Amino acid sequence: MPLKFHFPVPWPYLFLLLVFGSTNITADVSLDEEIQSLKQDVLALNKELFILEEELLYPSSTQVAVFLSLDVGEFFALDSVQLKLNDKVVTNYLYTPREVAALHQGGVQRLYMGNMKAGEHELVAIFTGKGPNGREYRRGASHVMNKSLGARFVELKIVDNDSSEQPDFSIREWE
Amino acid sequence: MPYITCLQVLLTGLLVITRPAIATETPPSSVKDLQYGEVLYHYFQQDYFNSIVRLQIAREQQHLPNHATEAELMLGGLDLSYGLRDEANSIFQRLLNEQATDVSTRNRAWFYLAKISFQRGDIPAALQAIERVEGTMTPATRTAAINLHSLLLLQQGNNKAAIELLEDVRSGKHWTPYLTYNLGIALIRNQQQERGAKQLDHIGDIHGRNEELRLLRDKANLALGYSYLQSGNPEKSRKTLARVRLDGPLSNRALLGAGWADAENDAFGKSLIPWLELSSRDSTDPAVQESLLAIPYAMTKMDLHGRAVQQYNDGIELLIGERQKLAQSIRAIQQGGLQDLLLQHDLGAGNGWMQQLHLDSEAPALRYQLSLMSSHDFQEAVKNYRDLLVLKINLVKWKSDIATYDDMLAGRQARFEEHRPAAEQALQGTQLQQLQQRYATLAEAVGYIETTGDATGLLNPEEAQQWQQLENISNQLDQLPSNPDISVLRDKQQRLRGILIWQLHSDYKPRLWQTRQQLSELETLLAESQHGINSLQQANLDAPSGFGAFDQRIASQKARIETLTVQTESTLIAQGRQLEHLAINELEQQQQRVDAYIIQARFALAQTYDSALEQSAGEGTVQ
Repeated sequence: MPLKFHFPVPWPYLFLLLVFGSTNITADVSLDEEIQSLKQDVLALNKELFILEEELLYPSSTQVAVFLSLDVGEFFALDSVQLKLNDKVVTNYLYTPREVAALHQGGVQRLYMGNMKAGEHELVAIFTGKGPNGREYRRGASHVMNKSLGARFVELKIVDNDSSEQPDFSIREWE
Repeated sequence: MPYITCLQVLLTGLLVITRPAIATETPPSSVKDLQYGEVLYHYFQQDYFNSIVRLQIAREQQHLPNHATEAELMLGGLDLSYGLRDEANSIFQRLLNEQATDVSTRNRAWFYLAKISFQRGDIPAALQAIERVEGTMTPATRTAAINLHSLLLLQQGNNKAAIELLEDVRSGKHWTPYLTYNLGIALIRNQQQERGAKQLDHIGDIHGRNEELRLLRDKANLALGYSYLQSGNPEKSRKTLARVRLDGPLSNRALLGAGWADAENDAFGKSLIPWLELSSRDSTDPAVQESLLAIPYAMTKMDLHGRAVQQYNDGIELLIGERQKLAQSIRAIQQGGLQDLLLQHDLGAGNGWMQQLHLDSEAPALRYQLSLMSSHDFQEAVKNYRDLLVLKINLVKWKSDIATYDDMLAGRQARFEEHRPAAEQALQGTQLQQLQQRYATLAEAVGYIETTGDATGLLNPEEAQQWQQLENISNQLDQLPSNPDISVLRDKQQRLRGILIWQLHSDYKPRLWQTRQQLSELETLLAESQHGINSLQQANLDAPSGFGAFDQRIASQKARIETLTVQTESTLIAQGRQLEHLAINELEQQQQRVDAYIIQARFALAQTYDSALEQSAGEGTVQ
């Protein structure tokens, strides 16, 4: 009588249990709670430190914050921006693809924080990137700001102009 | 066949591991508050930490008047993404307790609460929450809610309810391939093999325009292939498993199944093709290890006992080698190798960080990372470990920054003291009062001109000079005796005076308007000056106490940084140990499995010898 080939233990069963079965190892619950609590404490600390920094370095009487946003951005692929205040370069920013994507999705970047005395100031932004048809593109926008006492927020906005199929660059002050 | 009895386990397992990506809601792209846009900027880069910080700051500074409710909902979602389940839970509960919360926000809050319970493994609570999502909602919320609801029902084993839910929405616009997959699995688990196969077959044949969809297609084909095998349809199983990509993450399991489908058809020679391909792959994969036993098994079936013996011996050798490697990996992890590797990685924001770990798979501590990463607990542990490392870096940065705040404050204080005498002089001076008095006199004079119509008050300096000259001339003429010459001069003087008066009267209105304008500008300037003086006064009063308050704040924050640094260090050590514990446990389980394979291989080898001997004896030749 020939021997019948037989596996005493069904090996694929072991494999399947290992791959799909649930594990009895679970993460430490109390440690997870400790991490949650620590994260919250560090978040709170960051919030307070940023506020402290702002109050210390940029008092509300002289504070100016410049933001940048994109609306659609089909005719312009942003590479970098240079910001000048009263003819003095205050920031040069080179964007990563991740940051540009975040702007495309509706995010607004805080580009610059500084202080200004009350009175007139000229703000110039120079945008570089790829324009329509992938050509190198460099454009500027300027704005004269009459700074009074109190914090001032300015938005640099890149908007598609559908009629001219060109990007428009504008600067707007927020109340 | 023994493996057939295990297919239900496989199908259940596929369900457990297949968590279709739940569509996250995209916040509105047009922002009405700049600071809300700033939160989105970090959020879209998956930088949850800074999104939360920015949102909390904007809320405290009352910079979100137009996005208050959205911001609250978003904060809950961000907390959840950042692993703060308890905090997220409180936010959503609070939103639901508020009477003013609208239906759309309520729906999203219930959805997130369900997600939190799901993450905690509390399926009944998750189901209770998801069942509260109702009425009109955004397409994204609708799809995400159905997705989660069907998953929860499947996890609970309520396949019938899952089928009813999914079939109810199938014709709608919210239908996605993930829902089709869930429906297929639910039908198969509910013994509706044919209908389930139809759904999975549909997904298994879609054009995968991105990796996510291609992976879903592979999963559907794998599940369907094993389902056909279970229901005794190896031909269809073989065809379906052949649709799984050969270079995809599920290809090893597909090759293993394809071999079994051929073996089920007694086509052992054919089954060797996928199994031999599988055996040449990375031996850390359990499917590859199993192929080491499946190959000689097929050879035995083909009466190739000699080759089977060789294969068993080779397989045993490889498995022993694998066992040694596992021991080596465990030792490496015990000696801190895993933590060292994690520390070497760039902690850039985003979820891509974990995928990058694959780059260092040659290191013993990470040789079995694929198996480790399939464990949800291990993934969570790595995420927490990484978050703790980021917290540590964050605290180091603040520690360095805050040290400079003292200098900045001292600088500000010095500048204040420097300008203080001038400021005090300005405050004590009467210049502004004098100017205000002069303004009052001017305002009164303009009022007099308006009331009386006396235009001479509106003369410009040149005209005033001319007027004065004419007045002087008139006085001089009055003192001279009358004669024709004097009369001519008087006529001339009066004519010139008349011209001047005429000019003045014809220009009266514009001149008066202009004067009023100048007066108004003057008033504004004086008001601004007064405001400046008031601010200066206030600053003079507040500054000394302000500096003191800053001093106190800086000192208390320094102490907090120190405390949190110590806490982070100790928690990081504990989390590192937890991570190692999870990894070692996982690898020890693998060792046990490899041990079982080795025993089985040795046993099968002995049996093969027996069969070979028996066969040789039957043929009358013993070698």
